[in-house]
Amino acid sequence: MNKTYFQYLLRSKRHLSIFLILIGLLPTFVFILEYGSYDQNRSLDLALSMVVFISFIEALILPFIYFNFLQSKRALDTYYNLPIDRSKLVITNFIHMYLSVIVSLLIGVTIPVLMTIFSAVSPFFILPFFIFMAIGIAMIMLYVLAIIYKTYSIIDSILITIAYLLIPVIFTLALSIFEDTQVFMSVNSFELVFKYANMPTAYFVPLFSMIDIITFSSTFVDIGYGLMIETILIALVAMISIRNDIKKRKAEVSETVSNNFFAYPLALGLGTMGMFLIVGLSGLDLYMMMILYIFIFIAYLIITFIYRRRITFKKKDISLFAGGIILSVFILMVASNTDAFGLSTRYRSVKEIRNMRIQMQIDRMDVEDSANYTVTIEDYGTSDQDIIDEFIAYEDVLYDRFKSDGYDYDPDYNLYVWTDMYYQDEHYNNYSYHDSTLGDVSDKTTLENALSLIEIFKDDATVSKYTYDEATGEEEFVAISVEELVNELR
Amino acid sequence: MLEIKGLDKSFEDKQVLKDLDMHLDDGHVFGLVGVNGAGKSTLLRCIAGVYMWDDGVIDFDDVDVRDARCRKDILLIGDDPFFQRTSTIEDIISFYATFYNFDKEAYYRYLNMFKLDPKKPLNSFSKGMKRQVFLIVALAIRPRLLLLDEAFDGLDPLTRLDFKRALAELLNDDKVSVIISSHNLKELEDICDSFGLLEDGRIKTSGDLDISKAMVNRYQIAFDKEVTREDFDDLDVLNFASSGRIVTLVIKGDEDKVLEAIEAKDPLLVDVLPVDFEELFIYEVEMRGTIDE
Repeated sequence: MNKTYFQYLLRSKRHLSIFLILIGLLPTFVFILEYGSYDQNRSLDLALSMVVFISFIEALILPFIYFNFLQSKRALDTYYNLPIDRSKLVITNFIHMYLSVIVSLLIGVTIPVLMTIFSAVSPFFILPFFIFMAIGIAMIMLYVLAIIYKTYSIIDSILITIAYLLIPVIFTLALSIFEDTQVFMSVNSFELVFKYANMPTAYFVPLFSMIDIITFSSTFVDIGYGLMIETILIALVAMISIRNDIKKRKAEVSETVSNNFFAYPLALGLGTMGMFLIVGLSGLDLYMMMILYIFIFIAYLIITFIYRRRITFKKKDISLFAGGIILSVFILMVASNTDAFGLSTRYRSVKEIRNMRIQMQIDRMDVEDSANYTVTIEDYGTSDQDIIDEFIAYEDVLYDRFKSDGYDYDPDYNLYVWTDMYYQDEHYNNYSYHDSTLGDVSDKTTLENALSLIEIFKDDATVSKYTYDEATGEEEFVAISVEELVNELR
Repeated sequence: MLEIKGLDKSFEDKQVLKDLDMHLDDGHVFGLVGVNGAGKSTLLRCIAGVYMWDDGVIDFDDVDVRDARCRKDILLIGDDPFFQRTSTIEDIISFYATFYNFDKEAYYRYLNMFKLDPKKPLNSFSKGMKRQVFLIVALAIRPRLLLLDEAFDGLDPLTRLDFKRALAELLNDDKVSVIISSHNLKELEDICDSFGLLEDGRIKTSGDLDISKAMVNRYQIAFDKEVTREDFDDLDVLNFASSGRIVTLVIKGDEDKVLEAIEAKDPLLVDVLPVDFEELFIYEVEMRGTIDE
């Protein structure tokens, strides 16, 4: 860090610092206004949540203000000619920016915390909360700065930052559809990867969880090693990238087209590919798919026009778009022919299954007698190979129906059939066989399939009927036999 | 002393500077000239440490200009200097005073000379006034090597004169050197004592301005018969124009030797006229057939 430059920043950016302090004080004002009208925990929760939001927004925006000189040829003529090492220039700016935010937030947090320290606050978590927020702010700032270095104009910096915040969401959606339509179970590892790859989530989840602890709303902290590691990883990758770019990024690239691979080419490629996968996986008919592809193509062209700052139709762009569609179709075909790359549990060898458990719930929304009707079969475990085979057969029926017809809804069968199957492998690991989506249809065929399945356990299953009388507000659980259940539902 | 050896600089696939060599001793004002796109600004930015170059060496007093300490002695004033939107002259001074030894006395003196209000935002100034601000900064910093890119653009004649005087004052210190790039060669002629013609990525012609000008003269010659350019093939003719039996030639070479060669062709009358820097530039470039259309 360059001390003289830091002192200059203290002088020259004093207005910005005062503004940040005022923003930082907003939660305190809100806290004082709320103090007394609600319980203290709630007021503190609100104030701390505001601090987290403000810190996130500031961490996201301030790098664009502090490092705008990187995107201006004129500014770089001045800054890079200064007798200060480029890395020290960046570090000094970064430290001033970082401290401005931290100081303003410290001021913002102090009063509410002090006012509730003996009543509402769990003091043990105040320090970790602030440390995690401080680390998170550094992570976001480094992340944005890394993108600023990879882009060559302010507008590109902003757009690519937004793009990299959205791309994990697009892929999460694509993977979610992939899980539902191809894997037939919740693949938590994917969810985790993309939950954590989504930077705002990585920032907000642990902080809000800690606020709950501080205000005694919860005793569970959702920080986890995953988020810790991710925070450190993002910061580390960003730091390496920035360090590399400080040395290698040329002054003359500013105000030019952001053709760095990690700017538009990668962001546009990933975003478009994610959209292709969503369309391909969504099981729409060809006509709808064509319409969606046209929409994506229009969006793709608009982004390439912004990228190149001119309206030109390049063969390369159109070829890449067409290539993307072909690649996505190829990936989906491979997925379809390899049982979702071998991830699909429905084709798991039955021999691996040592125990199977089913939970089934059939909700009947019978309007005529104003009573909800629920039948539950739960926690039935079996290692009987014949029964397991029956399970598989039942699943196959649902699966084949789903493959051929998709979801269906028959208003005459106003029933909600929900099944959830688990199995245990020979190593006693538990798996969800599918996430019950296939059973969430209400028509005659589904009901028949469900009832057939229930009949398999007729000797062992526990069936309960729940009724609720809207007129009297009375609810009742009655144990019934499988036969009674089947008769009633049929 | 500035020493550049084998400098290569390219932008993507376009090579702008090719194996460029340049030498500038202390106490000189060097006029950097060249056609549009010749690479003058690029060269200045390389010397200022702004641009990274592909190959070669740029040393100032035997220290690589990429060394931040070395840049304390080098100041670049670009053709469109940077300032924050709300900056006043005082803000600019505060910024530069952070990094350089700033002569406040000189600053106030020049501020009076150029009659600028230090409290007003630069945004409200005309282009010429903004330029004056940065020239004041340069004069108050007194760098060992001052790089001025298109320094005279936007200055009115009186301000130009004031600036030239101030620059002359700065140059009283014989350790200070200035490199000025400009299209206004007439202005450069008054200030520069040496020059370099940047062409095809190299300094093709350079040297002392007076000597170079003395080496190129315009000769008006009357003959008793019509002559063609080929009749002067033994001389380094930069430009040839004829009107009947009277020809006007711009010839490069020692005046006495050129006159001797002309006398050998039995002219009726020979008149020798000097050329100015602009003409020198035009003829040098024209001769190479690279003038920017």
